[in-house]
Amino acid sequence: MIAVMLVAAFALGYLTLCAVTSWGVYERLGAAFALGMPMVTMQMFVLGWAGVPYELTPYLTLMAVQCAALYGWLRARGARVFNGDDKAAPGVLPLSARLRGALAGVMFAWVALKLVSVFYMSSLRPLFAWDGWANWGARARLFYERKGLMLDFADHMFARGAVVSIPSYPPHLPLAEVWLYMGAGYSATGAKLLAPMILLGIALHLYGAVSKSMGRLEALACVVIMTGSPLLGYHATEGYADIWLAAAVYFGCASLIKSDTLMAGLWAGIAMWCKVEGIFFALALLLVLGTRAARGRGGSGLICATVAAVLFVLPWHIFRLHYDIGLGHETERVGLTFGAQAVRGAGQYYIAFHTEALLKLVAAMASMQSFGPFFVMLPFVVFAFKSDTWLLPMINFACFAVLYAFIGNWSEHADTFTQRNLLTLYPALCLLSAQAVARFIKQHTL
Amino acid sequence: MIFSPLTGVAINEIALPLWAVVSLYCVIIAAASFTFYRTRSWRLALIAALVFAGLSHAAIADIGWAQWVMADSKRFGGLSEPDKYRALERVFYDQAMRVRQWTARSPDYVLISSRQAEDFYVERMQYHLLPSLINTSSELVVALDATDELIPQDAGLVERVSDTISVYRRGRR
Repeated sequence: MIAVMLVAAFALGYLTLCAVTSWGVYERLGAAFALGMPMVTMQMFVLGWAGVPYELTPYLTLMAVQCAALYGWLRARGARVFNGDDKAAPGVLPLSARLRGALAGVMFAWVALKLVSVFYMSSLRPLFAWDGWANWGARARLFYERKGLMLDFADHMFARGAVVSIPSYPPHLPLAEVWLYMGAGYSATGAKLLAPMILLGIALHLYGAVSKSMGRLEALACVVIMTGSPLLGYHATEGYADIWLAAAVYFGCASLIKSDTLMAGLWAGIAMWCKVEGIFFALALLLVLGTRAARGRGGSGLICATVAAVLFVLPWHIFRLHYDIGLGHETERVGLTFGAQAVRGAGQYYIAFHTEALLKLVAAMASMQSFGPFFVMLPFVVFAFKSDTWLLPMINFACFAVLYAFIGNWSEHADTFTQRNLLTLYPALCLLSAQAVARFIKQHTL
Repeated sequence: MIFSPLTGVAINEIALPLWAVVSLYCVIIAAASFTFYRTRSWRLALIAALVFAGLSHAAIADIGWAQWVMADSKRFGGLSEPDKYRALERVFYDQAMRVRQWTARSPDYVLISSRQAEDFYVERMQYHLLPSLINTSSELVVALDATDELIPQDAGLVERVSDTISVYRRGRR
C-alpha cells in the first residue's frame, strides 16, 4: 500500500507537469514526486484545517479524481503524456563509440548501485536523526494518531509540546509522512522512503537535462559527481526537510533556465512550504525576476512567479496569522519538571557581526567536507562561465551568509548549519555548472 | 573506514580524511596543468579539473558510503522495527515500552527528571510515549532519573521499571 501512496503523489505531480510544461520525459519523471507530494500535503493541510479527518478513503479518492481529471483533460487536448523531447545531444568528449559505450555502462552501473543503496540504507534504520524524530516525526505521528491538525487550544494546539515540535516550521514533511501512514500504518522506517524518492528524482532530471546539451555519458558523469556527496546521500536516507528544500531550489533553477517563470514561482512557493529557509529562495527569485523586469524584459514573468508562489503557500501563512504562530525557532515545552536548568526556550536573537562564522564556512569548503572539491572550484566556475543564471542561487547563498554573519546565536552553530544550508543549494549548483560548461563547449568545440 | 561510523543522530558535516583531501588537490592541479599544457585554454583546464576531481571524490566517497551500508546492513538487516530500536537504544527501548503500557491507558502524563530538557533520553522517552502527551494536571507521573524531592508528595509508586525509571500515580499515597 505504501507504493500506492507514493505512486498517487507521483502521478499528480507528473500529470501537472504535463499540463503546464513542455519538459522532456526524464525531466518530468524527475520533478514529478517533488511536485506531487507538496501538492498532496497542501491539500491535506487545507482539508485538515477544515476538519476532514486524516483517513485513507477521502484523501486517496480526492487524489485519484484529480489525476483522472488531469489525464482526461490532457488526452482531450491531445497533449503528450508518455513521450517528450528527450533526444540526447552528441557527446562532447572526443571518444570512439566503443569506448563511449563502455564508459557509459560503467557510469550507469555506478549511479544505479548508488541509488539502490540509498533506498536500501533508508530502509535499515527507523527515524533516528534528531530533527527527523524529535520535530518532524513526532508531529507526523501525532497528526496521524489524532487524525487531524490538533486545533484545540486546550489540548496541545498544533502538536505543541510534542517532544521538540516547532509550530512555526511548515507541516509539509509531517503531512507527507502522515500520507504514507494512512496507506501503510505507522512505521518510523517506512516514513524514510520519502527522501530517497527525492534524490532519485533529482538524479533523473539532471540526467535528462544534461544529456540534451552534452550527451548521455557526460550526463551520467554529472550524476555520479552530484550523488558523490556523502551529506546528500545521508539526507536522502533520513527524515529531514533539507532535501525537500534542495529539490525545490533545484527545480526552481531548472525552470528559470527554461524561462518558465510560472513553474519557478510555484517551486518558490513549494520551497517556503517545505522549510522556513525557503523564503530566501523566494526572495532571490523575486530579485532576479525584478531585475529582469526593470531592464524591460519579463515583467509578466515577475507577476506570474509572484502569484504562483504566493497562492501556493498562502493557506499556511493565513493559518499562521490566524493562530498567532511566529516565524522563529521557538519551541514550547509544557508540563515538564526538571531538577537541572531547562535551557531551551524562546529564541534569543541578537545582532552582531561574526566574521568567524564566514571563516568557518570557507574553512569547511577548503577542507572538502561533505561536498568534496565542488565548492572549492565553484567560485572559479562562476567566474569563468559568467551567466545571469548564477544570480538565483548566489543571492540565496548571500541571504544565508548575512544571516550567519549578523545573527549571533546562529553563527555559533555555523560549522554545522552552514553545511546543511549549502546542501539545499548543492544540486541546483551542480545543474547550473553543467549547463554553463555545456554552453561554453557548444561555442568552443574540443 | 573512510568516514566516521554512522551514529544515527544528526549529521551536519562529513569530513574526508586528510589523505583524501591532499589527493584531490593533487588531482585538481594535475588535471588542470595537463589540460592547459595541451589546449592553452584555462577554461578547459578548469572543466577538466572539475570533472576529474569530482569523479575521484565520488569514487572515494562512495567507497566510504559502501562501508556505511555494509556496517548498517550487518547491524539492522532483517530486523523488525522494535528490534532495530533495541539495536540502537539497548534496554532503554524496552523500558520505554513498559512505561508506554501505562501511558496508553491515560490520555496524558507528567514527566519528571533531574536531567536537562534537551537530554537525549528525556526526549526519546517522550517520543516513545506518543501519542500521549505531557500535561501538568495528569495523574500519571513518569520519573526518569528523578531525585526523590522532585516526586510529588501525593504520588504513589505504580511500577519501578528500572533503577532510573519509575511510574507513579497521584492521589495513591
